[in-house]
Amino acid sequence: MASFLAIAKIDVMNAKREKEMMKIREEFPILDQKINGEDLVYLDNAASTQKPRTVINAIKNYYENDHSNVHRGVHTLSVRATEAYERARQKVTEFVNSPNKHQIIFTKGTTESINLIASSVTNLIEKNDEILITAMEHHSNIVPWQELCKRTGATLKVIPISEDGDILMDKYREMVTNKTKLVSVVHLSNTLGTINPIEKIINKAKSHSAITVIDGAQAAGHIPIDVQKLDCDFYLFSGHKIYGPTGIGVLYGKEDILNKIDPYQYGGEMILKVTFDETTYNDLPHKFEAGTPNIAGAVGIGASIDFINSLDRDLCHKHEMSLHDYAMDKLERIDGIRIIGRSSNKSAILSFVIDGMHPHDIGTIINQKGIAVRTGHHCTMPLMDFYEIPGTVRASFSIYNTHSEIDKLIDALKLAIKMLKQ
Amino acid sequence: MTSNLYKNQLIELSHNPYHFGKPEKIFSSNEALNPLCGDKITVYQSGDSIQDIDLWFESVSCIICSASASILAQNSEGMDMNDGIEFMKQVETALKDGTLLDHNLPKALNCLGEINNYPSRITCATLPWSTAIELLQ
Repeated sequence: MASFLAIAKIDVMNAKREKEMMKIREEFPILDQKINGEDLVYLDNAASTQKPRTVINAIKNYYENDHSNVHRGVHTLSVRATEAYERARQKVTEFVNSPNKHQIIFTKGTTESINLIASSVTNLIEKNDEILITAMEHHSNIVPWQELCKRTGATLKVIPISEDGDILMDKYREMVTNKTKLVSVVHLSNTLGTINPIEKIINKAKSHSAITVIDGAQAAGHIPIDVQKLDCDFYLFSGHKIYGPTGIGVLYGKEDILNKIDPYQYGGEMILKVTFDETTYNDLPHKFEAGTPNIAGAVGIGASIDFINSLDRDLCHKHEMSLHDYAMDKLERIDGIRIIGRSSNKSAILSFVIDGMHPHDIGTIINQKGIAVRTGHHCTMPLMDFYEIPGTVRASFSIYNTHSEIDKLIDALKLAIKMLKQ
Repeated sequence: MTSNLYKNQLIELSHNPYHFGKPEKIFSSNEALNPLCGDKITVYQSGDSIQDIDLWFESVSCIICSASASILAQNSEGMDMNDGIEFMKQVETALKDGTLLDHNLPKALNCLGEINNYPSRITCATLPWSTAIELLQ
């Protein structure tokens, strides 16, 4: 009786929370549509979140009223565009609690941010130095470091993980030595959902004066970020995973290291003085923003930060985790399903495989029911090798998803399994 | 639930693919990856020469890829090399441009006739054919 009452209480809490969240869902016009004759169930939020009206309108408004090129213009539109662009930088500064606005560099996204660092730190890395990453990294946090190692003669080392999908911290502590020059780790795994203990990772790396890079692509939309508290050298994320537009990303860097490393690209905007004999580079952040930037993208990411700031983030987190736990419970009742990623500290990402069935076939079939999930290796091929699987089905939840959408996912999966087993 | 792509014939083929596995005697082989999903297929030419086609395959792949490889192995068997390559190129092109049902091709291929309506899955169907063409050339 007591447990029945407890479950009933949780159901009431979930229902109340979901009612609140439904007001937010109405802000996302794309969700109100049919796919293959069925209501869209969008569970591919780790790949890209959908955009609220405020973000769409901010970009539209910018192009309709304020667009021109930024900086150096004396006319009104250029001043307005510059103000909008720099206002967005200020919003990002506050969003991650950067000590200064000029430590925020706009990039195309997390991938470009990592490439920028891997390219620009070349002068700080020497032969026989070591760069550490984890076994759960996205390709974008593997390949740029492989290339850096090729250029410099440094060695790339991989911190192992457990079967549950947690970094083996004892192994990590053993791996950090005086040879370690850089540690680059994902904050929240896009495949496993694991939230890594980055504070401990950063502290250990700093005890050996290694540069610390945190890939926050998945985390920034779900976890409040305080770069000063983290004390990392770099923190990176993308606009399109935090309800903002594609093609815009952020690189936060510590001032001393940003001043120490080389520019990434060369040309307009990033210079102070150019003669045919020599060039003097501009101050931060312009040193790393060659060419005309993605102004509308910056306006969009600024609007997405305003949107996030308008939310009750604790309520959002509880809602997303309620969806995750509900889906996990239902999935585990289906024969042949194996969950990939069982960390005790995870976010609302659920990866799974089904015995004898290929993720792509499952994804294609449930799309007939309007359900959008991501299938495949999720740009983590070495992680797939670790689990000895070709790929997974990944359902990733956001603030606008509902428990009834999980029910639809489960029903569609059961039908797909029945169909493929025949 | 209905899915025009997942016809019974296709599912059946993937469950019991023709010439799945390594042949006893391998003349040559070629391995390929599907960059979209990481699927892997190895196509083998069995026997002592490449003149008479006798293809086998191993794969870690989806139903579309397995069924397509099965159709390839069965319908190219016994062809001489030049005819075989021409046949495979014709099928590969037809899978890509959605004209599979417009040509005088083996009826077994009809179960892949809908593939063009699923653009993200076309590579799954063409992978065995492109891998075999590379092997024979």
